Amino acid sequence: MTASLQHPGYDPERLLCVAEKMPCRVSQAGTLLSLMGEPAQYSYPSIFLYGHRSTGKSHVINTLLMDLELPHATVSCVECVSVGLMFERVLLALFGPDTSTLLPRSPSLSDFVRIYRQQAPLSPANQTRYIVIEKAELLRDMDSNLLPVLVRLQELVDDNVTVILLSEIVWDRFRPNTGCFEPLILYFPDYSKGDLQQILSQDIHPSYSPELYSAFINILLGVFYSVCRDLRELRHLVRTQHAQTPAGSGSDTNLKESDTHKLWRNIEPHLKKAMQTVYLRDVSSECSDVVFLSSGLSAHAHVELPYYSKFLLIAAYLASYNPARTDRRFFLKHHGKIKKTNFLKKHEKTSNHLLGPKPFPLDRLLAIFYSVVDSRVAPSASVFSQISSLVTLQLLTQLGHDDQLDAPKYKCAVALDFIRAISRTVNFDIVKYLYDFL
Amino acid sequence: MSKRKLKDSPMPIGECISQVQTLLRERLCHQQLPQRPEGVDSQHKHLMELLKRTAVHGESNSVLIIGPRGTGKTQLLRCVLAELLAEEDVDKTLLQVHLNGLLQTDDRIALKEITRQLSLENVVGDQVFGSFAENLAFLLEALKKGDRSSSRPVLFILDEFDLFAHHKNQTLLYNLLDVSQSAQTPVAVVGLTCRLDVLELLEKRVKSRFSHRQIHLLPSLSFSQYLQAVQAQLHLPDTTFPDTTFCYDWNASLKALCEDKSVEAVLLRHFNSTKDFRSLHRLLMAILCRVSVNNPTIKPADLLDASRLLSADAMTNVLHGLSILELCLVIAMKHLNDIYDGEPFNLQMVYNGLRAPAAAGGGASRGRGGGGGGAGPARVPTGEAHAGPQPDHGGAAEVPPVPHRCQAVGRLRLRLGPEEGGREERRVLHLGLPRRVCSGGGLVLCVTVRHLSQSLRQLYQHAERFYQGKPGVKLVR
Repeated sequence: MTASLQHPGYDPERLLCVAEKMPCRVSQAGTLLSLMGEPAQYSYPSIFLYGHRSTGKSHVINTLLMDLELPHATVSCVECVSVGLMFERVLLALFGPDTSTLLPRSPSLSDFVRIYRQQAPLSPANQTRYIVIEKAELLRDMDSNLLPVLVRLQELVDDNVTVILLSEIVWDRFRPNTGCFEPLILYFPDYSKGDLQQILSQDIHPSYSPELYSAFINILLGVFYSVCRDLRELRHLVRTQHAQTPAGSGSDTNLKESDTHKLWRNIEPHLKKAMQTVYLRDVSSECSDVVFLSSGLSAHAHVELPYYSKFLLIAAYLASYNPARTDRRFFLKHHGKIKKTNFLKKHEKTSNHLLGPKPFPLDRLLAIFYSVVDSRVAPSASVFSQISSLVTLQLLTQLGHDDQLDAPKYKCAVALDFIRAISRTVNFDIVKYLYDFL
Repeated sequence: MSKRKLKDSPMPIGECISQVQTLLRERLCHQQLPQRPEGVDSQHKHLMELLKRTAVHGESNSVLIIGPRGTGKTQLLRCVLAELLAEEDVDKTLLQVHLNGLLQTDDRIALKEITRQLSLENVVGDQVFGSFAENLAFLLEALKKGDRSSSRPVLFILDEFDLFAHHKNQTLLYNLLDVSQSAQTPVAVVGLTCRLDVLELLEKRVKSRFSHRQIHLLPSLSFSQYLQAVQAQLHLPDTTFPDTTFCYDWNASLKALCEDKSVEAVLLRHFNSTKDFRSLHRLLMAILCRVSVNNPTIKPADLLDASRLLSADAMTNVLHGLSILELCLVIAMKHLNDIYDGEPFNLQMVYNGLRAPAAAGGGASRGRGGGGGGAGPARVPTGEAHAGPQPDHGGAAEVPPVPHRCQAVGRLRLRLGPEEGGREERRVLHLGLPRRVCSGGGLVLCVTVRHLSQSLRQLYQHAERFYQGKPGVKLVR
C-alpha cells in the first residue's frame, strides 16, 4: 500500500516525506518524477495533467516542487485577468523582483519572451525551471497565441524550462485549429472508494476511537458515494455531520455490531437531510433545519396582491407560456375552428414549461388581461402602474433597453404552482387556458 | 596508457543511467541539431544554395518552407544556417532577424522587434523610439540605401508565416517582399509555415512580389526507415560515451528490441497514425522515463506501456470518474440528443427525462411486464454503474436506454416502484437490462443488495443463477 518514490537525483528521505503527504497518489507522483528527471537534465517542454475536481493534481505537483525545492512559478489563470499579470508573476518567481520591473506597461507575449531570453543567461539554470499553470482551460479564452507559445516555451526562450498545465478538461478541447506542440498527457484517475476511506480517516477527531470513526466514514461513503465522489465535498460533509452526531456515544465500550446499528440510526436522518444540499455548502450547522421549497407558495407566501394585479399576473403567465397563435382559441368567444396540424413539429414535443417563459409585448398582455377579467375594466393609469409594481416585486421581468418606452417586453417569472395558488384565490381555472395541458 | 585504463574501468550503473538520460533527453526534448537531417537532402541543398546567393553573392530572394507540424522545418533551417555561418566571412557580415508569428502578433510589435534586432540608430538599449510610421520609413530607407557590393546582407526569418498574413493590410509582408524585389541591399525573406494553402492568404500585391519559391517538407518515410530512425534516436555514440561496455550492451539490446515482433506492431500502429518526428520523440520520451537503475535497458513491455499511456482515450478516462448521479444525467442527455437530433436542450428537460421516463419513449414496458416477485431475468450490462444502497427508496430513478455504440456508458434501468398486485407496499426492483453482454468492455456492474427487501433477495439469487460463470460479469453482495 505504501509504495515509495525513488529517484536518483533527489534525496531519498525527502522523497519519503513527500510520499507520505500524498496518500493514494504515489504512482502518479512517481510518473511525474520520472518525467521531470534529475534537476540538471532537460525535461519535455510541456506536460498536461488532467482529471476531475479534487483528484490531487495541484496538491501533488505543488508538494513535489516545494518539498524538493525546485525553482518554479505557480500561476492560476483565474487570478490572471490580463496576461500581464501572468508574465509578472512568472518572472518574479523565477528571476526575482528586478526582472519583473523590466516589463513595460501592458506587456505583450513578445516582451515577455524577450526579457526571459535576456535574463536566462544572466542567472544560468543548472536546474530545470517549472512553470505551473492551474485552471488551464481559461487559457483558451485569453489571447489565442498564448497557449501555443506556452507549450513550446522551451525552444522559444532557449532555456531549460518546462511548462506544466493542470486542467479538468481533456486536451482534445484545447488544440488550436492549425495545431500546436503536443504536450505529454498524464491522467489523474479519481479516487476509489477504498482510497476515499483511507484519506477521510486521516482527519480523525481525537475524541473518537479509530474503529468508530472508520465505521462512521464507511456509512457516510456508502450513502454518498453514488451521488458525489468529490473529495472536497465529502470532507466538508464529514466535518458537518460530525457536529451532528453525539460525541463519545459508546466510544468507551467495545465496538460491536449493535453499535454500528445504533450509529446508523442516529445519523440516518441527518444524512438524509444532508443529501438535499450535497454541493451547496451550508455555512452553519443550524441551517440543517431549513425547509426546502416543498409547498407551493413558499418564498412568496407572504405576498398579498390586489385583485387586478393577480389577474395581470395570470395574464402574464398565459402570455409567456402559450404560443401567440393559440391566443385566438383561448380568449375569443367566437374563434372558429382551429385545424390541428397532423404534423407535429419537433419543437412542439417539448412542453413550453420546460423551455422557460417567452417574452411578450405589453399589448398582448393587456389584450389577454381584458379578456380574462370578468368585469369591465377601464384602462387607467392604476392598471399600468400595477404592471410596474409587479416588475419591482420581480414577479415579472422587463426585457429590452430602458429607452424603449413605447414597446416594452416582459417575461413572467413565477412557477406553475405559485400561479395555480393565486388563480385559486380568484376562482380562475388557469389550467384550462394553458396550451401545454390541452 | 592511463587514458585507456580510465576508459575501460566500468562506471557504477547509477551514473551510467544518469549519463544516458542526460544525453538522450537533450536529443529528444531539447531538439539538439543532428549533423545532417535525414531524408531532406534535396531540400537542404536547395535552401543552402538560396541563402548562399544572398549571403555571398548579394542577390535578394524570398522562399517559403512549407510542411505539416513536426516534420522538421525549423530544424532544417537551423542546420542550413549553422553550416552557412561556419564560413567566417559570412558569419561576420550576415545580419539575421528572427520573427515569430505567435509572438509578434501586430505589425507595430514586429517592426519594433526588427529595429531592435538590427540595432538601428533609433534604438537605445531596449527602447525603440518613434511611431510606427517613422520606424517603418527609417527601416525602409536604411534598406534601400545600400548596394550589392558594400552593404551587409540581411536575412529575415518569419516563423508561423501564415499568422503574419492576418495582420492589418499585410503591411509588414508587403514591405519586406517589396524590399526583397527592389532594394539595393541584399535581403532574403524565409517564411516557415504549416499551412499548405498559405499563398491564398496573401493579398494580390503581396503575392506578386513573392518569388513563389516553395520548399515542401512532406514526411515520406517508409516503415523500415522509421524503424531505423527509432534506432538512431536511441543510439548511444561509442566514441564519446564514457563507459564503453555499457554503451555496447545498450546498443545491442536496442537492436534486439527493434527486431522484436510486438515492438514492431506497436511502432507500426504509431507509424500509421502519424509519421512526423515530433510524435516519435514524444513516444521515445515516454519510454525513456522508464529507464532507471532497476530497469537499465529498454524492454518491449516498456514500449507497450508507453504506447498505451500516449494513446489512452481521454473521454473514457473522464467518464470513469463520474458518480452514478452524474452518469444518469449524461445518459439522459445522450437520449435527449438523439430525440432532438442535436438541437439544444436545457437542464429542466434533462431533469424531466430522469424523473418521468414514460415520456422518453420505448422500452419501459419491458420492466413492467416483470410482475410480482421480481421475475424476469436480470441482465447485467457492461457499463459502469455502482448502485449503492439507495437511502430514499421512494425515488423512481429510471434512466432511458442508450444506443449501444458507446463502450463506456452502459444501459442501466433501475426502477423502484410498488408491486403490481398492490397487496403490500413491497418495493420491487425491476432490472430491465439488455440481454447481450458485449465483449471488449471489461467493466462490470456491481449491484449491492444490502438493505433491500426479501423480494429483491430472490431476484438477486435468480440473477446469480443466470449469470454464474459468464465472463466479464461480477455480482457483489
